[in-house]
Amino acid sequence: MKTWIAVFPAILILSACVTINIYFPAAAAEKAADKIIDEVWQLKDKATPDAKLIEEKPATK
Amino acid sequence: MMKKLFSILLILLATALAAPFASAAADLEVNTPAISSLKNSMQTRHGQLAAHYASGAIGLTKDGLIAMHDANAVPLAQRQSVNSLIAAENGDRNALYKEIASANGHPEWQDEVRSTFAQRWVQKAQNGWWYQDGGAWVKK
Amino acid sequence: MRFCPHRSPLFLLLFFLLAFSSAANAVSAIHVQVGAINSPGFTANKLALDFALPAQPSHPQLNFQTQLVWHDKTAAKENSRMALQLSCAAITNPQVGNWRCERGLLNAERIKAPFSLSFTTKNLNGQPQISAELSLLDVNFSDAEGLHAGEKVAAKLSLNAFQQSRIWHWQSLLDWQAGEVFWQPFYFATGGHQFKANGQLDVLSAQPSLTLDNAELQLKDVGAIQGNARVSLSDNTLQTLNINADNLQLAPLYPLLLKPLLDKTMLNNLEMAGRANFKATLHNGKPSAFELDLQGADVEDKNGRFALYKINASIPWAYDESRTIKASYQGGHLLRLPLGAANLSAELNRYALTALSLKLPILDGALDLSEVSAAWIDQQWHWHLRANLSPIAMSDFSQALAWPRMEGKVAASIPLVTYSAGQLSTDGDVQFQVFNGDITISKLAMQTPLGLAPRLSANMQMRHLDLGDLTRTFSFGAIEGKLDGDVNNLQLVNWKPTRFDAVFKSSDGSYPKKISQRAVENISSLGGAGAAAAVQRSFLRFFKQFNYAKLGLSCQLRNDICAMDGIESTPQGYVIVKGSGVPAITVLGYNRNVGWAELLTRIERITDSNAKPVIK
Repeated sequence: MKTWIAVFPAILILSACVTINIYFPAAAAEKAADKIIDEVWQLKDKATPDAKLIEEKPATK
Repeated sequence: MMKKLFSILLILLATALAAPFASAAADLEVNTPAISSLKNSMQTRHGQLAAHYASGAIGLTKDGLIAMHDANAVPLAQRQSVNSLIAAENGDRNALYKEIASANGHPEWQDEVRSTFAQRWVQKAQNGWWYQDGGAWVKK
Repeated sequence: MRFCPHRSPLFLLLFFLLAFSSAANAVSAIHVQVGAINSPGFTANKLALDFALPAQPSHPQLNFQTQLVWHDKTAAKENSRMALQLSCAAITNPQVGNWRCERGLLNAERIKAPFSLSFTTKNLNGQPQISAELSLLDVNFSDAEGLHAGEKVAAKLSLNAFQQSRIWHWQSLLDWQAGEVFWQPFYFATGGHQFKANGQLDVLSAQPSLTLDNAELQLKDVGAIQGNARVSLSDNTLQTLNINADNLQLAPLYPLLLKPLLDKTMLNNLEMAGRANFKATLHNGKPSAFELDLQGADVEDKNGRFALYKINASIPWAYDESRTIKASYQGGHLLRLPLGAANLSAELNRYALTALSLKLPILDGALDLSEVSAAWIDQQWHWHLRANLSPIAMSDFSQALAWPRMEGKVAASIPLVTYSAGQLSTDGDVQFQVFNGDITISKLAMQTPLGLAPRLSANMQMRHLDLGDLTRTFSFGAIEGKLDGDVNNLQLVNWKPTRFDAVFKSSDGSYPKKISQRAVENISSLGGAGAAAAVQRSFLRFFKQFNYAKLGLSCQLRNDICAMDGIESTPQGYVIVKGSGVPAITVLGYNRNVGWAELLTRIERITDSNAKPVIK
């Protein structure tokens, strides 16, 4: 009986320790956010579509 | 014997299909179909929103969304559509944060993804755009 | 609805105006200053009233100003302040009891309202009588957020009233002549709207009230809305309301009133035509009944998702009773699938809708919905139904969806479809009879089917598909034979696969099994240009087709990578096609992990280059 009582706190301690913390990868998230924002706001590839438009214009006329 | 002789083994799908999958483990997965459809939808909408950021009508909020900052900068006839644009953009942004968190197997990261984005939107905003700093609107 | 005239500061101002007017001739200027007037909603500070009486022929002038402070009940923000100035450049008194304020101006932050006012008081047989005419010219106003604003508004308001046994009987007309107004979420681009009403105002009894009789709102191009209402002034609530509108034109009504209200629904980008009648009753502040009738209405989604034409519908609703909805339409489409004429009927019981059977003709078949039950709970729809799709020709079906033309039939029987909080799930199977074989879809479930990134999950089972039909349809090199396939744990996000376990292999049994050189080349070219050239270089190029014993390919899709396998493993790879007879050809795959996107572009390239040159 006594051993049973001793087991309880042991289980509690064990179960408390089982939680595995996976830390939020802040740097990776920032990189991912930058990539998406660049695409949504078209911050990087602005020059290409413009150049294409100019090239295509004479062809259509 | 003849059969064996005539059997030709074609070397198929050999080297060319070896796609570069071995991306660095540190990166977050942001290439799911849901994320790219949200991204496309936001990119298209940005064409309509850009002028309103510049005029100060719309600003970036501290929770990674956008809000009406000064409706008076928008002609009356357009205010209704700006409101709809804001609602649609915020719908996409909320879905994006949720998708990124769940695509990486951690739905509980949603709030952290959101606050990361909130900072980066402001960081990458153009000068003259408005954003929320604490409780107050600030012009960048 | 709020209405509290007895507390309005304007009444106080009028009181001042009237109280001092009779004594005005004796003095040259009156200056009144009041520290503050408090009211539950706001405080008026530093009130100053100047009444100047210059020598003739100049007219008296009035100038009034104050600082208003609103008490924000949400308490989140600081109280908003506003300086307000009201002036009359000339006050005239052309007749006894008739006062006019000419070139008046109401000026405040974000409000500039030039006006003129004529005010007449009479006493007829001991009954006080007033009439007022207010003309607004070129009024601009806006609240701080810009959510309620008007520009260049011109309007006329006239009010006549007399008092009889303590009750004021009134009659008024508001004529909005020009200018644009944004009143979140509504936008009125031009004037041309009128509102007239008469009624009684009872402020002296124990239960003060305002009644509106014969009210009529005339909306330009849309039509007239008639109604009456009673407002209790002790708690500012709408007690009763009756609205009746006949022959409203839906085409202008939709952008004016309906679109803003439906902004967050899938009905937010429509084109409408036809007419509607609408009736509604509010009793004791709660909706008790309404009826919406549509006559020859057309509804078309501008995003092309659906359309219904020539709708005639009668949609009654009552809080206490069950009512029968009847609706019919002549045609339309749903996701480009043509819908035939239908007659529908359902029971509407407060917030629940039930129908024993709804038959929706689609192409040459019909979708039969039975035991339909839907309920509006917590601002969301929940519903379930049985669905039965009587056979539709795949040729029409594939053409309607702009797919490659397919032969066969599609039919489905789903014992239970449940939709709750954006989640659609099914019990039972959807059956397709295509390519001379059977496709069964089971465990079909969807999340946010109409959202931006709908998710679908299902299991698919394909049996005895005719490979000849299949390869012809998809412009792949010809293969003769039959194909079995199982696609389990299929997940689509935004209609693109993100995960599945697929196994395809030739069906068991004996039937002609032939694969063309072209098909072998195509399978090979999936591995790049080099492998295809190997066939061309060898003597095999003299053979148009080969016999095979078995063929098969499997793919487990995870994270955009397809883990591939064939019908057998070899030390180096896996067998995709196992030849038989002379000459026998065996196609081997070596790469077990293939990028899904890359695989798709290669398949696309093959089917495009094989397609017969069809000029669209």
